[in-house]
Amino acid sequence: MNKKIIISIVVVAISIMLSWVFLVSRDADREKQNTDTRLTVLSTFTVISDMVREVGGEKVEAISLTKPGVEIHGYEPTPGDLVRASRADIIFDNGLNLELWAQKLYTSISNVPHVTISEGIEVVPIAEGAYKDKPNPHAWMSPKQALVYVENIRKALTEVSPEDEAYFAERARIYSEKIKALDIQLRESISKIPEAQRYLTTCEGAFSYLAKDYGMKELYLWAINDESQGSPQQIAYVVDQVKKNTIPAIFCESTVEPKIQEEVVRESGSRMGGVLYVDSLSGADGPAPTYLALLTHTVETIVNGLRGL
Amino acid sequence: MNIVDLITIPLQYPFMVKAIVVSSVVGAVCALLSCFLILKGWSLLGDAISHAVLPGVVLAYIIGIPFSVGGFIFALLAVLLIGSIKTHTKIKEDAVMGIVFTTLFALGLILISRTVSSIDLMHVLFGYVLGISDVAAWYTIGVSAVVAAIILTFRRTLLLFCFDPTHMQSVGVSAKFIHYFLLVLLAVTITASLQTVGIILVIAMLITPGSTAFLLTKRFPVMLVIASVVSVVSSVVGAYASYYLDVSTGGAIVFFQGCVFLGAFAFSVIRSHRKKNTSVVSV
Amino acid sequence: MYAIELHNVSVEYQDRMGLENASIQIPEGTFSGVIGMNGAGKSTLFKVIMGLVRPTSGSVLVDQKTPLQAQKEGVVAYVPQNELVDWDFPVSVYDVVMMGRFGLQNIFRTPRAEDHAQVMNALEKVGMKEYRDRQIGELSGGQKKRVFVARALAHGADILLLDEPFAGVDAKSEHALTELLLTLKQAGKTIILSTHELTSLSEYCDHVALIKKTVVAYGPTTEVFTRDNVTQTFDGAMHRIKFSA
Repeated sequence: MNKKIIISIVVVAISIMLSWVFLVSRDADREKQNTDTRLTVLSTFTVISDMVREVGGEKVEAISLTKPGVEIHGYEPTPGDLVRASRADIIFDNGLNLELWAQKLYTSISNVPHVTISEGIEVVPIAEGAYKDKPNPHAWMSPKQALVYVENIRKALTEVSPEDEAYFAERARIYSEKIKALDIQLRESISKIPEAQRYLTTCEGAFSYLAKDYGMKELYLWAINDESQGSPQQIAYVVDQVKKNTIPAIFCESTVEPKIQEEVVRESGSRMGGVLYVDSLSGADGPAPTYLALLTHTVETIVNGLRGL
Repeated sequence: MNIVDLITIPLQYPFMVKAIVVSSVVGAVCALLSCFLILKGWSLLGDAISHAVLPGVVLAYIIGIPFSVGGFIFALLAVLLIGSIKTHTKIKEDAVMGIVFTTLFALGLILISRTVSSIDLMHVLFGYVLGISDVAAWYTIGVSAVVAAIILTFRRTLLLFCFDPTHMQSVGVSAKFIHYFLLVLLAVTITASLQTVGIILVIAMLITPGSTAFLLTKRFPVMLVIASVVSVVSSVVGAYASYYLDVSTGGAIVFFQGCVFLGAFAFSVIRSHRKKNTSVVSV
Repeated sequence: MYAIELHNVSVEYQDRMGLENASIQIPEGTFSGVIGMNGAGKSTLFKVIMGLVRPTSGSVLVDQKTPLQAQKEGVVAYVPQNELVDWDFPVSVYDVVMMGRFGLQNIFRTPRAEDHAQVMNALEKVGMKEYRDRQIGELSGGQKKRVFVARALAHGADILLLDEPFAGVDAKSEHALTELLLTLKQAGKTIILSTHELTSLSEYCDHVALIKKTVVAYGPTTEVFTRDNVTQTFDGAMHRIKFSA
């Protein structure tokens, strides 16, 4: 009877080793030389990568280090990420303490230039918590600030590939027009929410820029995903505010576990208005495959939730 | 793709070379320590100290001194607290360790939530094997080399301390001194390697290699060799596997170490089983 | 000359007394049995002699020296109880006996020719030479004891303390062990052992100490190992014991 146990242990051990070897060799085969002449542009997360794709068009291969749906604040790059990063012609990060791990990345890869594309935006500081008065990193949630991002991307791409200056400029112009148009459209849909109902209640305080742009009041469980728990006082405050202002719907983001927000729903009698996209795009078949779709879908969800549709 | 390419391709990247070298060096010194720790019944201590350094890291950040200094001070504090609570109560040592390290870790969390910082202090504990700066790499390697040299030089004294501290004391060598000497070595190793290879790797490296070696031999010098070899091989194989499978490097190293332990376990069970059978026959 | 001298020694632990006003004078070259109930203070007495516990009051002389001085000179060797040893420890018989040389070696504890010679010599004396490469867990109860006696010999100590040496040892091995100890006594060593095993005590111990928080009585077995004394020490009647008087 003991023999059976031993045999099964040995079998498990051997199969682990074998599958390992198999996977290693298969992955090795997959490695192929890149004969592509496009610029390889690596971004720390999907939102920036989408902007790069829009500006760079067919002249760039835009890659995102983090995959759609991944929490980006506390990500840990794998060896493959580092290999991709070291093959890139340029790396874009958001900065403003969003991807602190990017610094570790740059420690490992010192030969690839990196650009922080939030350079020059109008910073909204974090209002409370451990990171109080530090800049809120989620500036792309304001279409107005996103224009700065686009301009920074254009400049950086032009610097790497000056012969494509006109191409990038034209694409950036078209993209910026689209963003401006969306800005007007979003402002309009938010104006349909009765003014007293314009409370944006979320898990992370990631919507400061959006709320500021469109005249909404902000409530959140924690300022930034790094602490990710929400102090008891902060949660109690949110519950009180939701009750006091009879806020019809509250929200949580796609990259966050909504457990605490569900608790707020139970205690305040409000309801979950849906999932908002901020830190990451969705997959291609999801509701927010591009930056513009992310903004549209998120604002739509907010408006529908707060208007009780 | 041939075997030479398989080995050399990851080595084109400096971060892979550093990851392999540093985790091997840390692995080797932790393996040496692990032999003494598991024989002494101190395996949990590595876990405890690794967590207890958190408040030290935060305070070091606030004051502006190197993290390892703050971490080291709190590692010692944890050890002293564990020692004094244990001698003055009848609570078992594992419970005392649990109380001390969770309390200090919690203090660290509280300090973090009250500290404005531009870096993620919690992540100091979760050092990142692929993002080791040259300075940090040399620091860790240097400290590890010194600790390894000390352990090997005084291995007989440390062994006697683990085996029979009463005898040691009865010939006039202070067992208490050796007790704290070993703890200081442990604290130094942990604080020097946490920032580079991270907490999970350190804890695993302080327990698994020694345990694996213990299953395979009844000779202490052989045990030291097996533990070091297992640990270094795990680091190298784990790092390569993480490259080709594109998974977390620390995770791959620890997982491979666990697989080796499992193999050693199966081997030792089979061996003792066979021995039992043959002895029955020979009677 | 006395090997051990205790005068009015008291040891106070945090929550209890280990010894109270104990006095004893053990002559050199004698074989003493220390008997008493569990918790009577036998271990404390041993610890005081080894210098592991400092008395709260009273004075201790070991071979005319303070216990700490005696430690440094390696006067006392200790054979631990079987259950206090980790028998799975990856050390061989030879390694354990070599530990006896520990106090005599330089700071790196590198064994020299002299050390190896002494270890072989000690193994020879206890009849464990052919088992020298065995891991210590692979021995019988009696053999285990003899390894530690060999360690004490390698150490060159004049005084041997044995804590419950007959626990977990069969009758035949017990006899072999006492024979060995008697030979050592002949060679001039002072032997002190603690035991529960009262039945055959008088056969090999020339002195007996009765312990009950203090030294109830100490002296030649023929005078001290009496029914009255033992009954007083053990709070009750003892059966099957061959008393001296």
